[in-house]
Amino acid sequence: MLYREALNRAIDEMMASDESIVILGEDVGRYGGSYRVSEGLFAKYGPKRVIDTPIAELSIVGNAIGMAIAGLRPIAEIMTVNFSLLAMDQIVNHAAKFRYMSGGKMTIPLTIRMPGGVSRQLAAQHSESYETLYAAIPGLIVLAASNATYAYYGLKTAIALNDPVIFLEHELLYPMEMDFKEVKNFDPFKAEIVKEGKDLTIITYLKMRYDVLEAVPKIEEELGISVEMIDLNSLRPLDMQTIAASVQKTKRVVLVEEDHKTGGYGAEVIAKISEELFYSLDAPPLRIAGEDVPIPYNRSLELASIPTPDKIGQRIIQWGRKNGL
Amino acid sequence: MDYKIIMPVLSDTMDKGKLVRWRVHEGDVVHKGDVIAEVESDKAIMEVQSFKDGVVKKLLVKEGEEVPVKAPIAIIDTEAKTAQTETKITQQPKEQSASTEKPKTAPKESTPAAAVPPVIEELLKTPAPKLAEGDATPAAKKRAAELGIDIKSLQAEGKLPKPAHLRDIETEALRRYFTPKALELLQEYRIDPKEFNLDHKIGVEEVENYIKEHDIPKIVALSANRIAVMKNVQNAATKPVYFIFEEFDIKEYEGIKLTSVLIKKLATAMQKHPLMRAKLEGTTLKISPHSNISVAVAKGDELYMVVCKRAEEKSLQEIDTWVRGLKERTFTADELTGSTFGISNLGMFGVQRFSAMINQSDVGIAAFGALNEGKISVTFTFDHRILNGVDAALFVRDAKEIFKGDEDV
Amino acid sequence: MHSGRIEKFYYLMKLGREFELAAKEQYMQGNIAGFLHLDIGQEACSVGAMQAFDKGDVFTHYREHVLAIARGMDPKIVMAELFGKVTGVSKGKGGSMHLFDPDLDFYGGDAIVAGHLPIAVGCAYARKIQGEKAGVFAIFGDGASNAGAFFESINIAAAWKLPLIFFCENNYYAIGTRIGWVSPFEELYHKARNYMPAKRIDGMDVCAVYKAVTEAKEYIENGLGPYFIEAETYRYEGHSMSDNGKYRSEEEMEIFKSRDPIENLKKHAIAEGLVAPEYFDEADKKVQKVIEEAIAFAADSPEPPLSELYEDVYCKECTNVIP
Repeated sequence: MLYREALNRAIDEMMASDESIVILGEDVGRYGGSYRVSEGLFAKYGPKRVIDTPIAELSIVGNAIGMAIAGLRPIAEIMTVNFSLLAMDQIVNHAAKFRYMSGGKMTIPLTIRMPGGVSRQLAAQHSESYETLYAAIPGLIVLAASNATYAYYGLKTAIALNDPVIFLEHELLYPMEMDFKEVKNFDPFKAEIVKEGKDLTIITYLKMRYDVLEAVPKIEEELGISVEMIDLNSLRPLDMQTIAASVQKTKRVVLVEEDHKTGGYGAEVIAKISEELFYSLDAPPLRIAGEDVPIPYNRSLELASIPTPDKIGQRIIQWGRKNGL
Repeated sequence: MDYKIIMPVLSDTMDKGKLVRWRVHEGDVVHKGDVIAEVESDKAIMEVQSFKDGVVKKLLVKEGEEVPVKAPIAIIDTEAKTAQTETKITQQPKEQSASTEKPKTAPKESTPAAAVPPVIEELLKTPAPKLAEGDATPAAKKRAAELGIDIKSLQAEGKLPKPAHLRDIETEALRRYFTPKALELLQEYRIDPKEFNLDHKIGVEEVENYIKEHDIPKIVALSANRIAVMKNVQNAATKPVYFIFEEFDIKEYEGIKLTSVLIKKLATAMQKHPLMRAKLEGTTLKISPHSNISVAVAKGDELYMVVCKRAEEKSLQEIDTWVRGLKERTFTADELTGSTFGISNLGMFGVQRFSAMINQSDVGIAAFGALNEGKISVTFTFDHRILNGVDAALFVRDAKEIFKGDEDV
Repeated sequence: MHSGRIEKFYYLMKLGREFELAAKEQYMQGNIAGFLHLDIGQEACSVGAMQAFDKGDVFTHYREHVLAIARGMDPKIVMAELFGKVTGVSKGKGGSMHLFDPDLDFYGGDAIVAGHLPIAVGCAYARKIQGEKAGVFAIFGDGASNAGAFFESINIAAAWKLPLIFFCENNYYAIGTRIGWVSPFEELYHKARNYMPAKRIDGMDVCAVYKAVTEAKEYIENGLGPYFIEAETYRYEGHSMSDNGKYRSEEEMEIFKSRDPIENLKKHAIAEGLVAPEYFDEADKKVQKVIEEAIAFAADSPEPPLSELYEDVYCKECTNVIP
């Protein structure tokens, strides 16, 4: 199943089962969605429930909040996380806080989907990863779908939850053919152990999952170790239980993220690990992240700005040798 | 009834205020909402109103004086409004209580016991583990403390690496109970040290006994060469082959190794038979002008098929020099490829006859046994995909003639 | 205007003003903290609009105590919220600027200028597709009319013909910035004129406000799209407690105070014989009692327990799994 088909199926099935679900965003209706996620939905559910909005992100999210207050379950699509900054006030000051500042009286069942990350040469204003901003906001739930299975179940759950959810996707994943697994008792907040191992835990999420997977065989061969790999799935809340069990076993942890290193989401994960699992660590934690530069247009510069399978492999092998592996 | 006017809280950050100007005098009648004073907060000069009707009974603060917020600054008599004129006369200000009634300091904001996030609370509850001193990872320090290992002194003695990791500590712990040789044996046989009673020093013998008693196999990893040979022969085993058994007459030459002679003779025979110089590639044959012969060379456990390139152009002496050099040197990748026919010789071990596996993409291989009074038995293996029995028979016949004579030497 | 309605206007405006004065006093005594924005002088807008727009959803700015009370919120729980007590409408976690009550369809106290307008637009969209006629009322100040969110909102509301009343309280000052310094004109209904019916009314006259909002309500109920009202008004106090309002002249203040909505209503009602003079004394007494009760209730109410800190961040289902 294509990643985007999993998302489409999730929205379609939810809309079919609940009339209060609407989707809105730029080009989601007649056009079928910039990444074809909402393809076919306009024809099926009509303009009342599949709403073409102006390019005005503040309003896309603001309107969605109003719809949620009125009893609908809106799914707002922001074309890329880069544009979500225009809606930041609505997301952070309104959606995330209404329940709390009303003493629990307000409920905002809202899903905001947005793809991000480095695609191919889209340059500085279309290539960012801002999960670190949203994951820092109490009142928001932040999910990151790296695969078709999570995309499908995760998005369905997000739509059903009674709180605002930032649902992060990655631009390079949409056309990818992926395995789809039927899941019973799906838990959106549970991290996935992609691969079991005993000497080293690599934590990652979104598209970096695939880069890490590509790097793992070489790391295992060169260092003669077995690697455990965790895909976080949910960034807020963070599944510290799964992380703790793994790190207590392997005693070494590497975090791979596409976001910039300084203040990136990985900083928070590593901080929590240092805080809660310090005495289990047999090596200093390693972060492999994007460089601290805006994303450049030129392809080789672009690739130099983010982790790649080669770089991930080299860095971990180097680090492992230095730290007793 | 006395109503106290206080230094108002006028902003979220104000903790004291300066009385800039009184807008009323003692004895003045005030109505609700009337401005009675101006005070300066941290943000601006603001007006203070009375929230009650009445008569100003007392001004408690002088102009220019600074007092904390919520301290009383004036008293309004809320029941004296009808007798305003009289009160004004009779109650002339007497300099007294203004100074005696010191403004109270604003009560300190009571800070509730900080609500600690549950995770941190949990962390605080767990006491920090005992740690050994030295240059080591947190996990290593914790384990060392549990085991009573002094990382610092061991590092000073050079017995532990810097920084020490968990594995170093575990190994150090084992050194207490196992002699170095015994420890090596444990690692070699991959035996968990916990299998032993760790209450005395354990030597090699005890470990050896354990190995025998529990029938523990020694695990030997295959060498890269062995893995390559495995692949090669497995590949050879899939080829459709047939054998020709022969016995050749052969002349010996003073000071020349037999292998050198075998190479020279075969090289000459191969020149007459193009198929012996062929390599199968898809549906075509690539026929080399030269006789490139792979020669089986054993070095300890390792086996190499080293190629003698352009053997037909080399003199017997040159070939012999090449053969004699084989034992000493290592081989380049180029020397291990490019052959079309092979030789294997086990005669020096007294083997009478054997058959060999074809090397890589060679057409065939000749396996030579021991030399007995000028005669040597040879088994040819041929790849049937490249040549038929008749082609092979013609080649063997010519080779037999060439081995007998010495025109080419 | 029949007398019963005028009595109601008077009572609610008086209650609003006395509530604000009491809040001011309590603030000065340290019982209320943070930002406190008083509605004194603008009561006609709050009361007139809430009396006319008695159904449908209301989205407000953060000068909203009187709006909430006029909508039907108990002054006790409003005052308790100002005191930060657990009995407050938002359990003491919202404060003066955040008075929400979905039971009253009152989504009040958004403290981001113009931030509530896109939300009102979305709610109006929902009401339209749900077939709810009553529509939505959004109130905001002159300052908000300069924000991007305002322009996005009038555009979308008009494009989609949403049942939404934009009610702009033009009191001429965004804190200390005169609207004319930062807007090409001070009559703000011009900003909406090309999008929807837009008119300017006397916001110091509660009957005028009531009439205008009633007309607007009929317009949106008929599915004709949004409606814009600019009500000229004036706040007697500073923007918040820390503002002395001295950027305005005494003369200007006097002109507006001469148009005081409460005094003028009383004067006209008595002069025209619509309401007996005794009613006003009774109403004032009743107001006084309600305010005293509200303060006593707020003062006597308990502080929220510390466990409240972690409550209401997420819904119950989510709270169970979110640390």
